[in-house]
Amino acid sequence: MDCLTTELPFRIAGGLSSGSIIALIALGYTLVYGVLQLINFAHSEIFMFGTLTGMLTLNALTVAVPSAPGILLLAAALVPCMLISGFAAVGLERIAYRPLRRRGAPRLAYLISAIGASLFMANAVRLWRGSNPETYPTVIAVEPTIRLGDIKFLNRDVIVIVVAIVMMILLDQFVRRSRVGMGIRAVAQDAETASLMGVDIDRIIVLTFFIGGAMGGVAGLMFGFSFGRQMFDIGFLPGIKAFTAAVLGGIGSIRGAMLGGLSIGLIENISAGCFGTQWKDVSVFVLLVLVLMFRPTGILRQGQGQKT
Amino acid sequence: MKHRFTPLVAGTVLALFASACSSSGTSAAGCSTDDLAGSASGTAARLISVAAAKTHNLLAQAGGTVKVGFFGDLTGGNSALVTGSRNGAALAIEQRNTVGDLGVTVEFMPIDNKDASSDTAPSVEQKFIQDKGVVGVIGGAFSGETLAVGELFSEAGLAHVSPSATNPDITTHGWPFFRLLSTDVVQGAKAAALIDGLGCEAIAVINDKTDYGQGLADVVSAELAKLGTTVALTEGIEPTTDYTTLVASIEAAKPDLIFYGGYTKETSLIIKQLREAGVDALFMSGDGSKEQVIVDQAGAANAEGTILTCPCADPNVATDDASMKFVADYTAKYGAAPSIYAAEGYDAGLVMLEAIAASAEDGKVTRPEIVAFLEAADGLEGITKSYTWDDTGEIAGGVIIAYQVKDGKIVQLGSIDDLI
Repeated sequence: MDCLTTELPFRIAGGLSSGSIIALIALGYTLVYGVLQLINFAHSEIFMFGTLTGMLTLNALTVAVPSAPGILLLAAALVPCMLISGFAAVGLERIAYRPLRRRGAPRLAYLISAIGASLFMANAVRLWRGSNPETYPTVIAVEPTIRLGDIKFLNRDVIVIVVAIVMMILLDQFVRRSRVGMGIRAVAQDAETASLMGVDIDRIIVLTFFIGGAMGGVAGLMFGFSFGRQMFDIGFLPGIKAFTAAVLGGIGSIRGAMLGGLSIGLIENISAGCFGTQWKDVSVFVLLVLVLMFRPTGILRQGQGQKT
Repeated sequence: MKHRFTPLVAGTVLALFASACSSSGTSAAGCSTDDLAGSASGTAARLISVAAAKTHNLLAQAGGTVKVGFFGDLTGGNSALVTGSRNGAALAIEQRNTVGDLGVTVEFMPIDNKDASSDTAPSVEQKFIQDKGVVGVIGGAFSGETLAVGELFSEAGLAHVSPSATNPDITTHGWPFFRLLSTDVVQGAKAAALIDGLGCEAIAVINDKTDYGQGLADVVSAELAKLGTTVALTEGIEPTTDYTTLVASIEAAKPDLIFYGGYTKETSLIIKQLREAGVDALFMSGDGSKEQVIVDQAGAANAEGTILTCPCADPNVATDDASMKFVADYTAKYGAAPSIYAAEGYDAGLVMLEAIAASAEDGKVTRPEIVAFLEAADGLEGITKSYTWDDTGEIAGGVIIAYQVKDGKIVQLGSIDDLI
């Protein structure tokens, strides 16, 4: 398609930047699905906790050390965002999902619990912070920094993409090489056998939620910093896109989530250029349907039984 | 008559030279607002004293309470556009209760329709309709919610006046609805005239697909077409946070000016993301964006130069006695200066009170009498204008005022008719 090549230079920066954030959120969905076969619909609120924590941290830091360079403040804000979102996810698991696991509840119960938790968390923040949008402090003056012909990257695009790629590489390597990572893969493959092999399932699940939540926290900070806004319902739309990305890439596959996220970001942006902004969501879902028609488990997943 | 044409021409020429020599590569050299002088208080605000001048026979009535309702987005994302009119109406009612010449006490009954959702508006309306004490409603604050409930009000015979809903469709149904300001047909036409007057040639017209936003943007597009100005891009967007795709599309269209029909919650994000991407073209929006919150959320540097239109005048800069008294009273009661539509909200309270006064003369305030009074009203005095409604519920005339963001504040430039 001719439009694809003409639009790509204009859209690539925005596509990769949005796509990176979606990919980070999608990791949370895919990790939890891998170990529990559960779609954690409350993950969008874990992401929102990230934007909220980011805003509060940056507000405090800009007051405490006003002369510090913005990039350092952002880096410093990463830690609380990851921790808060990570622990929120752990708490979510303990309150909303573990009791159901103990009782051997049907899949539907998990789904309802997830939605309930999502509503609860969003409205708790709404009660606390109000319904009006809040603004991030400006720590970095955003402007275009890289121009190669028609391609233009803003400094915030570069930051978001770099942070996201680093996080994704770290996660990928962690899951592939560490003992805990091996445990996660084992539980994802076959929980019963893994426990027979001496893997503590509960611990692995908690860690999985924490890691997924932490990724969501990073995404929250990046999103909030990019657009300068925090609101109680800011997680809703990115959450849906990320879930779609996880499914597109192959739910349960970490690399699939990354691929799905970046794909959705790029497709959204390019189709907005080709067909108009009104059609970008349609394009994404049409693509999803097409992929699932020919590869029902997503792009990177093969067959029913394997889960990696 | 003041001649602004010569400075306009000189200013435009200078601006063209200035921008042609400027080093910024992305902005089109088409148009700028350097030439918009504007008068400090240039409005068509009426200077009439308020209802206290009217006297009514004090009835030997047992007293009692009637209620005047209000609904709008009081706590949601666009509440900055609504709280002013709520406060203004409450002030008017409180003042009249203190005067005490109505024979009844008027109770103000505001109900929050969060985020002005058209889905939740009907249930809010039922509360007014079913409460027999409610004789009139001020609302909705936004066009979408007003359209959603007009039928219900019509069936209940309950009069409703709006200080801020500008979509022209509302008065095409024969509802007992009375509008206190000009419609978007007028606002859109004047906005287009202003764009033309600024010399802008390629325009991007964006809307948020709400009744108000899309209605206004469509009028602007149509009027621009009549004036022979090119609309380089038309987009309807879903309100969201990430406008990367919109910004890139706007950039590709290379407009001189971007017109956005929508509300503050989205406007601030769009302005911010446009400026961050390096798009310097002029940004214009309608009354739905005219609140300080867009400057706060977009950043003063990003919002600088934004033009806003409104069928409302800013009472804070008005010099007539009625407006100045209103500003003083409002600030004393609420601790802040009147925000957008506060004066119109006050007028909404006034017209309702006048209707109640007239209806109370026969001893009982009833909904049909309120409707009849408003239909027959001729030159009803408010602080922003005097009200005479035609058969459909519209007022005649109506002035559209232009504002601009300068140094982090929204400054009134004056009536668009005076500026171009």
